[in-house]
Amino acid sequence: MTRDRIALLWRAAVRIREQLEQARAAEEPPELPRAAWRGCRRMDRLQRRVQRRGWQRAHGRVRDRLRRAIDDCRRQLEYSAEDLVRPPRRPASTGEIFQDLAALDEEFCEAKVCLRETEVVVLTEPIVLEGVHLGPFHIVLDWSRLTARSGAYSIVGGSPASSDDDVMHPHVREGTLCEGEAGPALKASLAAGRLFDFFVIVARTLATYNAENAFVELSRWHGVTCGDCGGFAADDYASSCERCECDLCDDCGISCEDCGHTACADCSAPCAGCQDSCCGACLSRCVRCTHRYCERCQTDETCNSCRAEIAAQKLTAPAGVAPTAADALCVGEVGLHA
Amino acid sequence: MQVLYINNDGGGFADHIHIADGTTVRQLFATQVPHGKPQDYLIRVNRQPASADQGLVEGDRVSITPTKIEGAQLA
Repeated sequence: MTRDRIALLWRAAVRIREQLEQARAAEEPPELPRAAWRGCRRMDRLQRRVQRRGWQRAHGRVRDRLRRAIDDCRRQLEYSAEDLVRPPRRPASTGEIFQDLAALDEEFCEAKVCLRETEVVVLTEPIVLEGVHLGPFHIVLDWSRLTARSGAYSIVGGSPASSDDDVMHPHVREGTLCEGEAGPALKASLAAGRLFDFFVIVARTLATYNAENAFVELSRWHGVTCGDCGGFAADDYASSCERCECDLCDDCGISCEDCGHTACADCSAPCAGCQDSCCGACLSRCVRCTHRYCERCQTDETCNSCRAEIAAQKLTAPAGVAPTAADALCVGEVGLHA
Repeated sequence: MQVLYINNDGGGFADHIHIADGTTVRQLFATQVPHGKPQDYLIRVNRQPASADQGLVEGDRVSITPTKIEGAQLA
């Protein structure tokens, strides 16, 4: 390690220690697991609904999820209770923090310390979960926020899920890691200034997939949500509406009989004449009956049916009798009577 | 002798403990994590990877972190 690097890490260690002392002085009572309790209540409501409707197959799965939610809440309550009786943690010394920062270089692909930004940033190895390549992630710790209850660190990088740009990892949304099991250990390591442990714990959490509690499941990582049916479509089997650009699965969307473009249900309609599906741009209204027709079922803004009726009326009308207003071909006149 | 033992599993534990002279990493793990398998944990001595048969000395810093830690979606 160069002298400049040693000096940088030492200065950072001094500032981090100061921040830890401030955080210790401002320490609040342990946080209660409100989010975990909300999860229990949500599962409880779901289970009751499933039971009322007699959905036997879903009942077992929901019951299992409720049990896990209760276990998680109970575990977090135990940690909070332990926190109440545990003596105040002694923050790491400046020397210990310095050694932690120095060790990050060897543990991670990259480790940077920025005094101006008050940040320590490490780069993990590329993460592959169940065959899905998520890429490496930067773990960014802002030591000026160690006194805050949350938001001291963020996760940057990865490649987003096709269905949600904000989800870069199954357990990371908008740069925030949902800590799950890692929560208490992360809180303890940050409070004590054990930065090496903190980064290792975050890295191991990023390298673990919890299919039961993911923002986007890996099985749906590369795919889209169909705008028509709401179902999932893998990228290879997805298309999009060429009018509104919404995503479409293989089973939805139509190919316009006139122009050949793909359109979703909202941007297409059947021709009132032949019933062929066409995009909205290729259908036009008959000035007489106002229904919408494709170009094959109308001529000069009049559908074939109306044209036939007009022709029939002309044949049967007495000589000298003008056609009725309803037969007028002028769009303006029809508009008045529509 | 005394070492700093850190267990990053669950709620986290970090404190100095007394161990017998000549205790190895394997032996310490077996006493502190009796139901765990070493391959399921990252074991570091003084922030460096360590072999199971490495002998511990006074003042060593031993940390044990699960390799699999499940994150979760917020409720």
